[in-house]
Amino acid sequence: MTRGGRIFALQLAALALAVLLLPLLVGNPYHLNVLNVMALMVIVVTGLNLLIGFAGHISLGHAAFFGLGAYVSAILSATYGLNPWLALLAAAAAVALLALVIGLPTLRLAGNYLVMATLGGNLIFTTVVLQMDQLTGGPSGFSGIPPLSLFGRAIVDDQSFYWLVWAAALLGLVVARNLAQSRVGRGLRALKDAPAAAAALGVDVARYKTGVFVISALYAGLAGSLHAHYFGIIAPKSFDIFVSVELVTMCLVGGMGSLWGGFLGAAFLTPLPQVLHVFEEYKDIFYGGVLLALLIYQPHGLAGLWARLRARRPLESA
Amino acid sequence: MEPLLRVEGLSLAFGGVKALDEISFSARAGAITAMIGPNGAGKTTAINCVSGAYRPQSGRVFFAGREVTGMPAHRLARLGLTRTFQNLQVFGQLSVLENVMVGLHAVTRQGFAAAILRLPAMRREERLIADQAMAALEDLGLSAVAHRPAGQLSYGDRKRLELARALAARPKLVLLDEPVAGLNAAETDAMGQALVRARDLGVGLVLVEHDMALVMKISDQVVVLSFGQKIAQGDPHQVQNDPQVLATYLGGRQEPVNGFSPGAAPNRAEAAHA
Repeated sequence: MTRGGRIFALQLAALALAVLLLPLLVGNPYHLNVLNVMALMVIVVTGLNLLIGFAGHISLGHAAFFGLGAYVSAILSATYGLNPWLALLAAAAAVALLALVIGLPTLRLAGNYLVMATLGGNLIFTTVVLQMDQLTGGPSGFSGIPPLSLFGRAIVDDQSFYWLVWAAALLGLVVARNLAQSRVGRGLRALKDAPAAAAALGVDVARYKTGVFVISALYAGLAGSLHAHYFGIIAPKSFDIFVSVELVTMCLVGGMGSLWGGFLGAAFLTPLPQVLHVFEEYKDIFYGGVLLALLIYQPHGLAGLWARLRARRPLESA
Repeated sequence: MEPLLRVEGLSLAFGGVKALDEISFSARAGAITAMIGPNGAGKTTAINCVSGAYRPQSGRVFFAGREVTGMPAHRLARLGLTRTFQNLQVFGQLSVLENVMVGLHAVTRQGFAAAILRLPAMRREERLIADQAMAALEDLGLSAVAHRPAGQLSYGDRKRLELARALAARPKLVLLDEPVAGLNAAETDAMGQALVRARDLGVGLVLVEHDMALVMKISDQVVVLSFGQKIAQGDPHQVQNDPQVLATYLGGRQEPVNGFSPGAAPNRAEAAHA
């Protein structure tokens, strides 16, 4: 195993250990609920960070993929009585298809058109959900979504969902890391640095960008399905454009393009509004402010800060 | 015998300016074909048309027995045609070794699914890629810096890295856009030797270069462009004595000059020749 591989394995083991021990310390089910939402965000933001870090494109529509996963899962399982796991798979397929429809035309172009296409896509998604109220429940939301079940046990309570969602989040990190340390990942990082040279060496730039965009959307879609089956009720407000901005903010706070950036950003920002109740009302302003301050003072986020502190240490001890 | 690369009647205009006007030339495997000409003659444009960066307005390009006109760069790479760039295009965020590993992209296969699942076949291929990339770095004397970020290399080392990366996959043909521009005499000499070694292994090289001493020393064939038109073609000796070439370069002086160096920096060229 390479040195980088060992470091990642250690970090992952530390996180897994924390995940195992944390429920012993957390007695309050509300706090467990916050940890569960945090894991959902870790999944979405890790996926979004793959797109930003590898393809160098920003999506302002990831909340729509999150929402599409949630609504397809909800409608298929509640309205049509499909097994929730099958509904989750169907939702993933729908999300991949939507990502292809958005990505194929826009990612062939040289400029950053994806950000506009995803922004528009998110607005359309919200409108469609609000308008098709027969199917989606409209502005009042969709309720009565059945939970997922595992080994004959329904995953309804906070504790059992905790195990499921954190296992999924850890798996998401492993997949992201596997992708980074591969021929495909190298091609992606190369095309971000110098697209013409990457193409001259055989990297199909448009295909790779589209591929990573679809994978990134799949992270969001799967988290959306888990979200729907966990809460049993979903509403359009959870998937609007402001949520997309929040997700990008989490990427920036954590560290754009860093493997752990998604985790750090989601882990830091998810509980913050809950802890600082004053911000609840002004959440969007707060996120906007954080975004601005970070871009100016700490463009590489928490992961960058950590790397800088580590790099500084040997100098100080010398 | 059909040459490795055959270009027929290539034309491309930017607005009203004819960058390329009915250019035809060919390049053989195991030979160095140099393309020279004053600034703005259309040399880089010709390279861009052949390498898939530009689509020519008319004319055809044949490579390894098939027509490839307008084929995108990544597909040409899979056929064995790659290039280097005049303004360096190393992947600065990647390590030196990883840069060369990307150079093996065209001849390897593992895709998204294999990467995510980390299949045994994928890990085997990764080891193979790393070994071959290391060998390519050793060929150009860069193995000591293999694990440094490529963005930290000196200019000369980055030039060598681009060549190592282009040659790693054993391509049939490499288009080189000014491989020694900005290098000192010793670096130029080393680069010239590396090009000759690649040629002797059977690689076809098309070289756009202003360093006349180097061009005349290592080229098997020289193509001269001026204002988008081909004005001469032949071995170095023929071209050096071609009256139209002399007129273009030296403003009408007719006597042949041995090892003349009308490039961007004559002093450097003479030093390299010495």
